[in-house]
Amino acid sequence: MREQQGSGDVAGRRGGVIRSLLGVERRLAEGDAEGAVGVSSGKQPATEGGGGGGGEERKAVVRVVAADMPPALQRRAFRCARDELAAMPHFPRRLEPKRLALALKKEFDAAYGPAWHCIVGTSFGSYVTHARGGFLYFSVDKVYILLFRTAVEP
Amino acid sequence: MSDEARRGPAGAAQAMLRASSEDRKPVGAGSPAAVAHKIQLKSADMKEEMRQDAFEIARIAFDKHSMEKDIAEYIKKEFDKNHGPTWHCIVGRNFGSYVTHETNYFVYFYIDSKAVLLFKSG
Repeated sequence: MREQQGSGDVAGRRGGVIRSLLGVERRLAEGDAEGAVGVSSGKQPATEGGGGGGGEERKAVVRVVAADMPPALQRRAFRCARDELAAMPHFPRRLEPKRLALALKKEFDAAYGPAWHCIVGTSFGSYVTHARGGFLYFSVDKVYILLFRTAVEP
Repeated sequence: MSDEARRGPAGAAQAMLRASSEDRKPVGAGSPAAVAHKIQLKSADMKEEMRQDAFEIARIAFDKHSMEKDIAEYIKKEFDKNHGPTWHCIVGRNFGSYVTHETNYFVYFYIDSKAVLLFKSG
């Protein structure tokens, strides 16, 4: 499908909700740097305490690097990512980035409508254009996750 | 608009990483002109001509920049300019992905030891 081009300015496109956030990209650079030096390793010290009692699983540490997304959607992404990571092999620990990317994309496509895209890894850089309110770049332990939405032409 | 979900093959990425470590060639101390970035196509839904354009632009990006984010930025902007918006680019050593792209506008390849994912959506 060939898209009809507007005035040449992405922001000026008819019905356009697409914009590039240069500020966000600058912050992404910090994330990239961290990602580049990060190593997939063992447990992180838990920063959140649960109720008493042994055997409780430590919660993975979630950190937002950059976001343009309503809090409720962010929380959903965190929960989905944590659940998927918890379900992955622990001994030996193995990250399955494609599986996590698929789970997140599918959940968001189903819950909020297409089209969502997800990138998961320990070392990558990116440059994307996203729909307003549809961008989240966060980390869970040492895994970096980029989740963003683009507009779908009718 | 026809849309289909395409995966960036993380499995292939892992395999490629292993292969690279086994067959890593020393970097020659020759002139910059002697350094030709080796490209290996992994997956594509893109016409030959546009694919070649992606490879050439990626080579230029790798020569101009060293940070993955800057390389991704250069490639995406060149494609937005030359092939119409809206493109997205991911560059790195270790990542998996799952994206939706427009038909005929998706390519995933290796340049030296880094993967490049380039696709159009939105």
